[in-house]
Amino acid sequence: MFTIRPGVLPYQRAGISLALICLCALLPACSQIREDVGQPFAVEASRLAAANNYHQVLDLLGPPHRLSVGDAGMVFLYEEIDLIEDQVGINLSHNGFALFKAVAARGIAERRLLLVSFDRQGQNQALKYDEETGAAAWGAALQIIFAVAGVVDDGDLSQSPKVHEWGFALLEPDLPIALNRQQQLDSGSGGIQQQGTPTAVGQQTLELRSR
Amino acid sequence: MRRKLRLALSLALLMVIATGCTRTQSERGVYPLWRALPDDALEIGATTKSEVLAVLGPPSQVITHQSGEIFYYLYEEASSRGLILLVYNSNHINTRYDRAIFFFDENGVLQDYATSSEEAAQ
Repeated sequence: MFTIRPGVLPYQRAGISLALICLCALLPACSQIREDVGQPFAVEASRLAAANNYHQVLDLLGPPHRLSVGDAGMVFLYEEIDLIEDQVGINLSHNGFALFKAVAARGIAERRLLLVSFDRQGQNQALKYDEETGAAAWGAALQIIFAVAGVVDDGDLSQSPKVHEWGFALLEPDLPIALNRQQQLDSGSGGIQQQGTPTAVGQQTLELRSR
Repeated sequence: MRRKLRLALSLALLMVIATGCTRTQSERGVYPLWRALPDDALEIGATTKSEVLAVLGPPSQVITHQSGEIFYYLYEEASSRGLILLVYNSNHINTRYDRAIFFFDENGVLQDYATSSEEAAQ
């Protein structure tokens, strides 16, 4: 039961309550999802330029994140990706109670990568270090208000290395992919590609993937 | 009317005040036994493929090259911390990889090897 204090009328109290409810219901449900994939690798340009063979590159940078060995030589790829997804949302309230929120999101990717190429004798042929920051994806969704889930489709940038599935991939049930196994970019002998490269291009075209 | 108002106010306040924290951790791949190896456990030009297998177990991937093989070990650890305040939420996922790579010649003798640095694997 409400008690009346001097100076605050009942309708004023109700107005304050209503304003509070409206404020809570309309406050934006904002989220930030940050994903750091891989540890930072420090590249000292001068020392790297002085590295003549793969032994020295291994000493400097450790094992590569991806590698491929072919008839022409060997390629090391070092890669680090930071993904930041900012979500802005509006609570969809009914009778002052919000269960869902409308969310719009933008994903930013910060990428650092180094490619080192060696000849058949393991001598350094070429290398390139690159840093890149840019919008990775956009998205919008209707979510339950308690959820903090990614909305943008950036899974191709944060997926686990295929190395984990190396043995299992030899039993791939999808025939076009199985037949193309020798040419696959995660086999260690078919070349390499950066995270996020579409799988329906290049030497994976024959796998008839949808994206 | 007043009861409804109080109920709505209580629910609204609960939603603002009620906070949640999440924490997850997952591991995948070959456990990094190479971290526990003594310095002299592996010797370039002497250690064989079978000795590496005996100490570290099967690798994540085997790659054949023109004059031998490469054993690639990968351990993945992902952890996430989340804060749910309803008005503002955040989630931070941190994925770290611990790697080891071993190059063998055609006779199965270790040519070179490298492991990711301990700081980098943290």
